[in-house]
Amino acid sequence: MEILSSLGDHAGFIVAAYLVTFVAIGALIVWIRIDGAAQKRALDALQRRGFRRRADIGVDVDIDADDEETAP
Amino acid sequence: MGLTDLANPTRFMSYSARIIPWLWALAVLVLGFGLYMALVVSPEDYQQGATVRIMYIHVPAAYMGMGAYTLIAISSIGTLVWRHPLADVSARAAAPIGAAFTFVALVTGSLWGKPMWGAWWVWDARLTSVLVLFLMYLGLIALWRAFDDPARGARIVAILALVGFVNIPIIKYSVEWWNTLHQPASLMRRDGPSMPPSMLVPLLVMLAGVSVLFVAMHLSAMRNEVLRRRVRAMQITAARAAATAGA
Repeated sequence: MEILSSLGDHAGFIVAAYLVTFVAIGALIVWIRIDGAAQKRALDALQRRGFRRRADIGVDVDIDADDEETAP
Repeated sequence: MGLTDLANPTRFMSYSARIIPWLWALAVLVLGFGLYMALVVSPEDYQQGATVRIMYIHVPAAYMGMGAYTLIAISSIGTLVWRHPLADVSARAAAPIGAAFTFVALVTGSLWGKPMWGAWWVWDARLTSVLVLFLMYLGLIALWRAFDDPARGARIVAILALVGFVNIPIIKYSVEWWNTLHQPASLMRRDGPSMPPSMLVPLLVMLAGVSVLFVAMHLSAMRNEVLRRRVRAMQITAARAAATAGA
């Protein structure tokens, strides 16, 4: 409250600026974490079905190569 | 460990997993200290009063907005010259982060401009060129999403990103080339920063904190993109296996 009262007549503008920053960057961080968890879940599900990356069975490969995985 | 080691996706995943938690922790520490300095320790401006405190988030956000696009441009060279998949991953991961920081720079600039200039927005060269940067980010993200196969879209997006890089020096020098309502540069000047140390130090601490946060976010987003491509490649293999079994 002490900080708020020290912001003067334009406190609303200052608080709004910091709030927008926290919400926008915070939302992006949350989205990155959720996206990461979703990708890991999807990868785990495929691996449980028996699909493996060639890198996991000893061959180092490119991430974009369509043929990098092995079917069960 | 050299850059060439990190350029291997498997090694990148291994090293980044170890370094990212430390980066998040460092970002929280530096930003916490920076916010304390910005909101409590730093003095008010003799003309702007407490409104100058918006500077401590507006300036780092604007720097990250431009820095992220510069990173995309450098990564695009990596995509076009060396065709390295991690270069496209880097560019694609940086785009939403750069867009978010540019959005923050635009909004905080508007919230700073209203009490200082009496207007939320003016179509001057600095503001307009930053708005163009934000639209460029949205365009790049939309174009990436238009391709099912990331490898096919990578080169086209890289060319567009490099063409759009011309906007970065325009943003930087817009306040010198044109008569703008936006104030001239006060940090990156040939004759040194034009602000007292009591304001400069908190701003530099915030810049350092936001930079570490950006690196943590970028590396995390790159890991997500690598995993997304692995999932996609596995799904294709799964579909092919299913088609072969059905034939």
